[in-house]
Amino acid sequence: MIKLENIFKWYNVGGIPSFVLKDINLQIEEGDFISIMGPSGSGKSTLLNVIGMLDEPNEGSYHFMDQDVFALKPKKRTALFQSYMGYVFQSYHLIDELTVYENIETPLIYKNLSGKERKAIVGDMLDRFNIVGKKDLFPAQLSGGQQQLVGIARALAIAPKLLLADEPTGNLNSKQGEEIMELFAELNKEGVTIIQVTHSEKNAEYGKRIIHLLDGGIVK
Amino acid sequence: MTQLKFIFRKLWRDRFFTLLKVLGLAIGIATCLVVFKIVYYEFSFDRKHPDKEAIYQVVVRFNRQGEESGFGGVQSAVAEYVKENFSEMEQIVPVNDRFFFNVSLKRLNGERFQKEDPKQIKSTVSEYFDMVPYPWLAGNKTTALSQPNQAVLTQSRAVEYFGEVSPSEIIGKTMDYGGKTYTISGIVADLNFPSSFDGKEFLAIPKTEGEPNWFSFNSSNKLFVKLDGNQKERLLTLLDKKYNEMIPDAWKDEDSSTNYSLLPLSEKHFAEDFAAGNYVANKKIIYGLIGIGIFILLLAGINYINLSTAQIPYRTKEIGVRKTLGEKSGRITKGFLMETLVICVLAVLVAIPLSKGFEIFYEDFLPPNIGDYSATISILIFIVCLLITLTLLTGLYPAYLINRVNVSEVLKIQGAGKLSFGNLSIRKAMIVFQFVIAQVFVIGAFIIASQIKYMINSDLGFQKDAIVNISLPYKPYQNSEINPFVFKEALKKHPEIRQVALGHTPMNNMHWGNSLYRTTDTGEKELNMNFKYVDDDYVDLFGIEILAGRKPQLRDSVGSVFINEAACAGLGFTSNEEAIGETVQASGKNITIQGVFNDFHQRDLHASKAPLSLMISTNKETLRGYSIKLPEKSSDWNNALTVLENEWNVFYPNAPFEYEFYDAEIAKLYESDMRQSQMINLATIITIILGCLGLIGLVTLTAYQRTKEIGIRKVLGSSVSDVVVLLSKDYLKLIGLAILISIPIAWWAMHKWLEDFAYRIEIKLWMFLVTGIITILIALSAVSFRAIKAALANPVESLRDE
Repeated sequence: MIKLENIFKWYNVGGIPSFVLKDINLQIEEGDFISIMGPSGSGKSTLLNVIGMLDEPNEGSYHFMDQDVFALKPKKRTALFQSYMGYVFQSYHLIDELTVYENIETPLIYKNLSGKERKAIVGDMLDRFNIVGKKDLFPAQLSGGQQQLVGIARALAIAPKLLLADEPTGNLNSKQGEEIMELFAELNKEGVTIIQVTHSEKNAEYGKRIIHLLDGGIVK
Repeated sequence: MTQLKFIFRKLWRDRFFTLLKVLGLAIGIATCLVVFKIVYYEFSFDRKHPDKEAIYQVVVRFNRQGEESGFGGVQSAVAEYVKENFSEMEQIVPVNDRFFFNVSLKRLNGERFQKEDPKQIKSTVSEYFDMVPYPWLAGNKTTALSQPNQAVLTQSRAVEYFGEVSPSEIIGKTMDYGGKTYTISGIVADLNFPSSFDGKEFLAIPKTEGEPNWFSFNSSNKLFVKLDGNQKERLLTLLDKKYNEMIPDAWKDEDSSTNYSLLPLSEKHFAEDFAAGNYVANKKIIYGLIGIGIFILLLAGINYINLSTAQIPYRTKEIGVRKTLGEKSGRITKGFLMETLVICVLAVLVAIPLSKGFEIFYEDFLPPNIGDYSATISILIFIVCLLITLTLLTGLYPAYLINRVNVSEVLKIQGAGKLSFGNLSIRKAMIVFQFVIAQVFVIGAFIIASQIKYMINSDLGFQKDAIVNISLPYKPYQNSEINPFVFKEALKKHPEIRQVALGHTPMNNMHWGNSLYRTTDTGEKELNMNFKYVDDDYVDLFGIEILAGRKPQLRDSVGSVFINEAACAGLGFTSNEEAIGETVQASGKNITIQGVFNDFHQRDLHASKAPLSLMISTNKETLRGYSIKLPEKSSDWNNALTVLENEWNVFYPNAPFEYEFYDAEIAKLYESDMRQSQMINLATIITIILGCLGLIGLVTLTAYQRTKEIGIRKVLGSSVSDVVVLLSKDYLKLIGLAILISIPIAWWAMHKWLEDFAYRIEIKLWMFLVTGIITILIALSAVSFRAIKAALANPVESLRDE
């Protein structure tokens, strides 16, 4: 599904390149559950952003579903992203001015689905995550765990093949974190490919494969 | 719909900023609305006349020794002459102004109605109604003015005179115009568009309106013709030839010429030279007004751009999230423009009552009768165009910035960002620009106010306090036959009244023009100047100083003249004393100079002091009015005025008792200056408010951005005032820069403005200092309100980790 070859990314600090990603080679198959670990500044999030097409490396090639991503036009890339990927953030990144319902609905609007279809999908999501009662609340009125549930529901609304999660439990207490992880495992069983970045050994264990990053390179 | 709901939610959440934005734009839009109304009104004059291209006013152009001037009135003989020699011309319509002491009539219910000094009465011919397309409500257009003593009323006058009765009932009724009876032969609807044909009552031209002559150009006699382009040449040549035949040879002069000319109706409203009593507009002022409108709108727009770009860092997260959810940039732009449009619409909703309020409070600034014509459709179109332009103009730049948001950057940041954009210098430049404009206005307002104060308070060379003026009644039924000196004596008996004098007051345009001739060894010297006719107590009452010779006496009414120093020098006397007893000629008569008085101001301070003669007179026709000096203490004035009124009612029972304080009358001379000053004051207030709105917005954001920094500084021991200084410093620097830039601009502009005054204040450095300090103080108070709030915040709150 994903094939990264010789990915380099660097910043010039005082004329000397400072590498964020150094010669990353990575292959991920459909149905995988990958945990990326590593200390702060090791390039975990950058790698995730490159996979999520939010960031571009300076060198290297990236194939997603057998398409050369960097050769695609931005429009095509967005379309690819829209149809296959869902993103979950550490700080949830819900839109403050929208209700729970509207937050989940937003990506569907961008996919130009009809109102009826959207209603059905959002209804499903609310049911599935047990947040029907919260649908008219604004993010600020929810607890962190609930916000993250909404964030995941929003990411899953478009039925993505790939779920990217950047420290999804970073802002949650351990019990909430555990629930989210259980949910991920369940999703993975249903066939969703998951890549998560995490600090916690315990959460990383939920993955089928753990990748350790240090100073921009894969150590094992 | 969802989008609209979202926009409103966001606007409500940021309601403080929404308020700033809406208020700023509303002020700009309101200004534009008022300007548009005025400009539209002025430019719509005569536009709707069906034959406006073919109608011309016959006017005269004078050239006197190279000095060109124009006049809109013609001699009374011209109309008849054109009619006799141009039978083929389509329409020849003389329109003469008529003045009556009063009109009176008996209403249908028998009630008497009378009106003093009715205006807008014209005498004309039936063809007038072919030229001007009035809808006829009653009567016959072709015969309405065919007989002498016939009158046609517009509907508005008919209602005023007869009340709400049907037009056909008024036909055949009679009215009394200054003692003559006229029969009403027609009622027309008022024109529903602004027109230079401003008559409201039309009378047939009487045979006795004076012997037609070729010598006197009279602004009351206007002549309009409708003709083909090829007839122009012949008409003008014929008129010029006839005029030269008719005038005496002595009037002809190599260096001067008088030529007839045709003024197209479409240009009439802006032809000030040829106004002859019509309301005309000055194109320069109109363009100035448009300039002010555009400027203020520009400032409001800049204010909006400034505030919305400053808010972008807080929206980057939202934009970033939306992008990760697959939103395309076109949609983001659209959304942002939509938001701008919503704000603009809100601003229009606020601006409409704002402009209405302006129209009520500043009615004097608006052209007369503007309220009579509706321009709703044009105004609506204007508002829609304004909305579209404003939305695009103010929305596109912030939308462009928003689209540049780098998603992966944004999402790294927790909470609202410390993101700074490369456009900071643009924002600073905008603030500086706003305050340069504001400061130019502040300096301008200050200097104009100082000049007006100077003019009103400066020593005029005579006393103007505690004096009231009353005009002599001139209508026969108001006892105009009474000898004013008898009334004067009656007043003098009362101890409450200090002094009474008769004559042209020192400072106004009451005077006659004439020349004094002095014969000396080297030849004859002529000095043209103003003559004021006064009585013997005049010099005393106004405190005019006699520098040589003696004070006037009643017997000076024959063979004497008093001149001022300027006249003395102008006639070639080396000293004031030398002039005393000398004989000069005026209107062919010998008169003796009996005294020389000081050069007091006869006109407002736009003009320099000029030669002047005082002639002593006992003739009530030339003396014009009473000047009465009240007691020194203003608390005694009421008493004195009561005495005055009682005495007045004994002598002039039929004339209204109307007096005016002379100092107020003098202040009125500066009405147009004061109006200008009020305009500038208003513009100053608007620009300052706009500038401060922008400042408040930016400071709020800076304070928010630096919440953490402020918290840390406070924990480290910084005081509240330190924090306020920290937040305000940068902006005050910008304002200081703006003030520096504004000084040369303001100096140049005000220097030009002051050139119009013969007596003027000097522009001094301290004026720039004072106005600069004022602006800085205003800006500081705008800034510090928010800054103090930020400084007072509890650091525990801002430093708490998530």
